Amino acid sequence: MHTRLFYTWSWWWLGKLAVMGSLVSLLACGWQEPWAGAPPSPTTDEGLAESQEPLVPLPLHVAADPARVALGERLFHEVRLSGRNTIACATCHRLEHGGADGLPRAMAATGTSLLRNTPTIFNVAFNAAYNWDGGVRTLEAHAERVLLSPALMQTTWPALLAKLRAMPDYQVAFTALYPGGLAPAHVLDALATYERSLVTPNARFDRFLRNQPEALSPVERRGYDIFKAYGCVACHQGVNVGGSMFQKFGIFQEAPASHDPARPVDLGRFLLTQVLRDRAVFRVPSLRNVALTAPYFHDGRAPTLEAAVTIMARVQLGRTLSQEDTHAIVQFLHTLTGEYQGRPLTTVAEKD
Amino acid sequence: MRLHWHPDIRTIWRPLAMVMGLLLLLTYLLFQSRTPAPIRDTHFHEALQNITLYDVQLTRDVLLARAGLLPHVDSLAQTSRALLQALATLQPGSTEPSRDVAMVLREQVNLLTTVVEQKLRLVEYFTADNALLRNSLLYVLHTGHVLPMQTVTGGQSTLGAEVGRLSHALLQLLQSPQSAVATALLESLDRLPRIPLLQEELDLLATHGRRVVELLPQVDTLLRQLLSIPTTRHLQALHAAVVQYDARRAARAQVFRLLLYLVAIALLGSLLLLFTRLQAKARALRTSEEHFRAITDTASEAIISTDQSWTIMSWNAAATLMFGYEAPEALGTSLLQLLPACSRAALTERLVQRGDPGQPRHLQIPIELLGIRKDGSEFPLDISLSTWTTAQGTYVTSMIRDLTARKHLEEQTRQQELQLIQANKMTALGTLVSGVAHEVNNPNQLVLMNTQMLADTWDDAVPILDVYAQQADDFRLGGLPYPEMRDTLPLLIHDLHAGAQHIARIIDDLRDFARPYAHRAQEPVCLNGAVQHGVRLLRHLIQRKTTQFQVALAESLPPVWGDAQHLAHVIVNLVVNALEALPDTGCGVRVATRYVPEDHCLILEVADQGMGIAPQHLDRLCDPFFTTKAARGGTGLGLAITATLVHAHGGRLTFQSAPGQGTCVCVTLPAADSTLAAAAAHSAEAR
Repeated sequence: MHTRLFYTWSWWWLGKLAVMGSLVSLLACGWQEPWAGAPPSPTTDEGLAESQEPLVPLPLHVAADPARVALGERLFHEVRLSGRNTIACATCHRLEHGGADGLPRAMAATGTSLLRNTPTIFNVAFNAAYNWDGGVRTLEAHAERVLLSPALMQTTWPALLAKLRAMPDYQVAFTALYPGGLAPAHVLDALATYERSLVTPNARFDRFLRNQPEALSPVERRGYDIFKAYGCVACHQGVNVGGSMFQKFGIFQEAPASHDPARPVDLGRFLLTQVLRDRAVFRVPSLRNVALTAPYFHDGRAPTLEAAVTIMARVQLGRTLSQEDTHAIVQFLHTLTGEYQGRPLTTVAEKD
Repeated sequence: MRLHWHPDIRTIWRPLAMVMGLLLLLTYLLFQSRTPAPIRDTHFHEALQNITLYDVQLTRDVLLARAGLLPHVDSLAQTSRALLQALATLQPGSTEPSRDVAMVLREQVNLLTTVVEQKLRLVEYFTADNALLRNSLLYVLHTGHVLPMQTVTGGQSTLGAEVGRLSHALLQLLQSPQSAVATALLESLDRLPRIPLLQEELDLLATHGRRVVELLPQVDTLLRQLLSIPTTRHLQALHAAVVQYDARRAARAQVFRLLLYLVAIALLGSLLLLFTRLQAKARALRTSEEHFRAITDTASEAIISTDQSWTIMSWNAAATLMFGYEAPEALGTSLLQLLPACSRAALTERLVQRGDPGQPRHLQIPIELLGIRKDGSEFPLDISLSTWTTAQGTYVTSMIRDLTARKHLEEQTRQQELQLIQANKMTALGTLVSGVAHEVNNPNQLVLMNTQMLADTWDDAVPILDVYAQQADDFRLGGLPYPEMRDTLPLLIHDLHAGAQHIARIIDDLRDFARPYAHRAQEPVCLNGAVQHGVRLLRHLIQRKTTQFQVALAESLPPVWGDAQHLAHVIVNLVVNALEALPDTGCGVRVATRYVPEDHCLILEVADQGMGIAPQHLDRLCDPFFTTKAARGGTGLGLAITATLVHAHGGRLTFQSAPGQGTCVCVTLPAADSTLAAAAAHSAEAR
């Protein structure tokens, strides 16, 4: 009787081995790594021939997963993402204010402002680097840095995830959209997907570029010409009218000192790379919707577009612009305001 | 309770452990030898390819930008970002099996990353400087074009000429950026006239011109630096490292596969070994079982094992012989049905307590009971029980002996003992009788002699007394008157004599009976001769008793080893008995002899047509002093003597009789051995 028992036992073991082996091989085959997708390529827009213009219109449609965009939008406006449940991403990047907060410098959690001017959240998909010093290269990295920064959102991943887990609809949404459910990478991905969807196409200038010459008035047209001729376009170029390179702030002259002499001089990218060449080098900001994102420059020293244009011309190009030129350029800059969700962006910014 | 489901774990833990160990090893090797994850490798190679492509794209765009053919630097920015992303995916994950190989790989990847980042930084600087250069160039060209047109007043031709020379120098510089040309340009810039109205523009022109001179070599240096960065070499090295790594992993997997195969073989071998050992053990077990079964089967006692409710579980061959049931029909039935009702109680009350598990308990004394065979006959048996208890219950083994033969033997022994006692008695009696006969014989002889004398004396005295009696009246003799006494006294004396003679006869017979047979010389005797001798002796009696006396003697009988006189004595006794049994002379007596060759013996028959013998007397015929002829003076010793004589010759005496149908006495005597007979004849002749 014991021999029989041994026989059945050994057969059972062999059977188990076979099952295990097949499971292992299945696992090995089915195991996949997530493959990061390529970024959208704005240079290949549908229906637009290869153009020699230094400025390119925004694509009219950007592919995005609507469910993830919706989730990202919820998270963007979610105050619980901050440590004290007081601020959300949308607090500084106010969509109704051109994607910025209208302050010279962003408000820190402690109340004092040591940070730089808030860049707009619109069209960030087309920027090559983020922040004034270009320290972050991806939106996910930027969101993570902001979330974990003690000066900004002041949260930690465990606390954040716990808060999100406590809300069942977030749990359900994450489980439905991401394999693995609620995780830091997925939270960042949702936010980034939403931010990438914040595109403002169909500005009047874009329509001009798409062979609608009547979209610009003659003054604005002249402003564009000056913009090109005086060399502004050397740096403020591409699809986002900037945002794709770094340049020194103060080429022909030293940039004027900031308003508050007590603050240290902002050395820009040098603080990051410690290369002497990078002293006072900043990322060239995008000029799209620039009419809505006053004040300007990294410390918000220029309250109006005219002031900004004047400073730029003198410091970067060594020119003193005439009144008409300034006006024309400013008018041109106003045509860079696009549409979001079918309606043109508006703010309190005046148009002169 | 712990290992109840497998009580023999102690015996099989070793092979079990070995098999399980081998299986675990097999599983481990299976995991180790799986082909390296192809998807990750595809991603890796794809990333490498992409990096190569992006690098080329970057270089191309940089050159285009330098040549002024790139409208905007978005492509540069995007390619840079794509390069960084691709590099990020190259970073090895956490599932590297061999750390030192992964280290090499990681080193290569880090080197590549450093190099690429270097290149990207240079691209960044190049972009910035190129933008400024283009700006300045544009301004110089634009102003160089516009400015001469603005010189309205005369004497400004030098400006135009200077600007022309400036443009030429610039063109030369752009064509061949050498320091001599640069110096010429700078000098040309210095020589620009000073015109108050256009001073600002001229100053700006000069500044831009100087910037061009300054930036051009800078941009070119950056470009050359950028182009000289050995990204391709590093990519190739990384690719080679990856291929090598893959090859090593494949080789490793191959080794593990081989090990897997070997371990599988070992496992198979060990399983086969276990299997053959198992078979051998099973065979040994079977042999041992057969051995023990043979013991029970060849035992002469019936060995039956039952459970505690007397249901038969094993039944051996001896049990079949004893009870008549075959094993298949006996198994499963109750042992109690083999015993009659009276024995069952005795058996069941023998089983009292249970012993310790596993320890057999012997219930001491075997008990004698009766058993019932299959045909219903009862027989005595002797049953001894022993019990043993296991987890499954109590079992009883019964060992049964058939006592029939023993009892029979016991009975026979008892009979023989009785006969022995009887023989002893007879011998003692013989001795006694011989003594008594001798003692009695003496006075008896005296009596015989004296009675003879007395008779003679009376004969002599009678005439005298006659004479006296005539003279005397009332002559009484012995209380009786003389004439009565004279007739009676001779009768008295005669009776006295007869009585003494009878006593003498009895004494003779007694003596014959008690005579210890000294071994007289034995000789081969012819039976027929003895018969004839005996018949001759009894001639007168035969003539008186019967008219039908037959003698039938066989021819050529072998001799009998013994005493002729004794044999004649036997014959005489038997014939006398036969004659005295005849009621009248019409009945006959027949004496016959014959030889039975199969038994090598002779048979003497004496048959009579007499009264026969009552059956209750047949057993006692040869008993001494047993006689039916007491009235006629039989002593009852005749047949006793005959029997003794016959037995002394090694023969047998048998009787066949029924009342009214006569009697046949049969004497069986062994024939003498022919060689012995011949030897004896020789010795007799020699004497």
